Amino acid sequence: MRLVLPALMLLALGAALLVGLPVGVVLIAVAFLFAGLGVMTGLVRSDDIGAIFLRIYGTLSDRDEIVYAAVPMLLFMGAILHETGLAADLLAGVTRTFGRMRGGPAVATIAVGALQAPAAGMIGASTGALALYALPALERQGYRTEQAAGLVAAAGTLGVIAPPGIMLFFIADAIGAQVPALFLAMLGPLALLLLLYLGYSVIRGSPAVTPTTRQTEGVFAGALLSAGLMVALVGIVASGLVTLSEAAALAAVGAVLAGAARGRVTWRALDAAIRRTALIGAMVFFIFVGASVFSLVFRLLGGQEMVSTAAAMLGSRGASALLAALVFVFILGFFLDWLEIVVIALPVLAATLIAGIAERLGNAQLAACWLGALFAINLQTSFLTPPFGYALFLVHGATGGRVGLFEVWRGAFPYLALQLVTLVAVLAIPELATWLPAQLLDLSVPKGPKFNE
Amino acid sequence: MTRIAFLLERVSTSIGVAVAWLGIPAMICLAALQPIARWLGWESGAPFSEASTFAFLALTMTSFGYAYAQGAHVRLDVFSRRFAPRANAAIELAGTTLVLLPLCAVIVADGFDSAWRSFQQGERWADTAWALQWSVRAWVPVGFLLLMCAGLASSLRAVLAMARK
Repeated sequence: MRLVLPALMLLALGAALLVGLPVGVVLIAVAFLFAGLGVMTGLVRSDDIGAIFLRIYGTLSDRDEIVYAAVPMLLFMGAILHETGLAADLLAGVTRTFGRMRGGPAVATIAVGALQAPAAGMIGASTGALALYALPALERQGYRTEQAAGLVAAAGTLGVIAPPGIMLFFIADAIGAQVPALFLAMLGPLALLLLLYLGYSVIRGSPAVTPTTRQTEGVFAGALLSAGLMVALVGIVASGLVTLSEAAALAAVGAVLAGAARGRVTWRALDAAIRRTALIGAMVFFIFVGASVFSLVFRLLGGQEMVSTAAAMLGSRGASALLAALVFVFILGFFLDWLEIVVIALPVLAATLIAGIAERLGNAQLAACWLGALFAINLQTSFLTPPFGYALFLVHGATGGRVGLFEVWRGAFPYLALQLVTLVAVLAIPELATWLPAQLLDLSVPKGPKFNE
Repeated sequence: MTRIAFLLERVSTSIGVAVAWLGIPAMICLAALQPIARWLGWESGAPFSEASTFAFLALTMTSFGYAYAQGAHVRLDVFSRRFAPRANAAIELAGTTLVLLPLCAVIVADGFDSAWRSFQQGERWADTAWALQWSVRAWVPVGFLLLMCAGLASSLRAVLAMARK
């Protein structure tokens, strides 16, 4: 019985989500239902139910979790870049730079996808924007619709694993890694994936290139400003001079200044950016609160034991347990959103895996970095896999249904394969993820450099 | 009934937007000034970070109701898109009345309790002498009250949709 209820709980969640109520509400509803079942079967003491309320209350108000404050600021930065048209400038500028080379328009789309990280918290923001700007441009350049749509979907998912993507925060939090360390750990795998994507685009080549000549003035300035902002942000986070929230705030100020320098910061743009920030922030944190309630009940019912038992059957030290965890997350990705997976599954999986990995790599922080990078790439693939690949839906939706879901998926399939290649490479060579943070950060302290707090 | 639903949504939306307009710039200024203050050698850590917790909680808590009123929360609508409108209305009604509203009611009651206790005990704000900690705690019940408004509006709309022939 102890192993049955947690499994049933996961299945019930999968089924209940399909009803179409907000995900946060579904998570809490399933949690309460199973908390009730747990009390009836005597697995959960009714006193423990009180912990659920404290959980909701404590999740966001906990003073140690100040790191969450960086999330709205990063979202705001992304929203400002979007509303002031700087993001569009970036795409246009990069397209013009690469436009004449072989596979150029595809290369440009990919490059911009990777630079849109902060807007990718809810992948909708970046992929939606990319579909809006890049898809028509690609088609004008003669790319087949299916090919173009798949490319946009794949490029849109790049921002998810590129620092300072919002997903990386929550992954770091879930497995106990330092956020700056995980940011740095992602650079190696990201570079490899980009190389693969770009190589594929160049080899595949582009149709007859007819460079579009629209108004060119200022596009490059805008492109440089927004690209410089992202690079600077990751740089100052890695330098360790400022905390994450401070870096995010400075970047947000930078985005507003950059927009103002181009004369595009209007009240309307500010209002739209602020509303967008509030709405996307609400989406993320509402699911986050729901998922943390769900995972609390999951643990009370013995979910941790269920996973440990499963891992023990595979041998918790061996590579097979890690492999099984990755496959498990991949399968979860078919029917859960990334945030639920990160908040519910990752802490449980990481707890059973990390000791063995730390023994192998000789450092718990490096182990967390490696694991975090693996899970991040693993989750990235879930955006491109049907039936619930968000990137696929978004591109399908952004074209007003003109491009069928299956077509988008077929177009994106080569990129999905390349993601899996990257995943295997990082699995085989942990240094891809661990080398950079080990060089730049002092990882001997257990929970990261203590900032001024 | 439509008017009541509209009013309730208006309350959640306008408070959510107003707090976002105050909270986001405040958060950004507070966090951006911190490294400068440190560089100048001012000791100001705790009240600073407590203030950004305050702004963050205010923003996040009030945004839940705003997002609900705007229909912005993530839903998996792959299947429900194909349901009849009345079936979707029934699902929404069940979801709000059986889960969302009771949940909000409990958190609002618990949260006001906790803020009230904090007020009575004069809980201090970070390292300062000010007994203002209750104001940080109060955002949780306030936020869920707004979410309750939006949920109520949504259930009213669902009832209307079901009554429609």
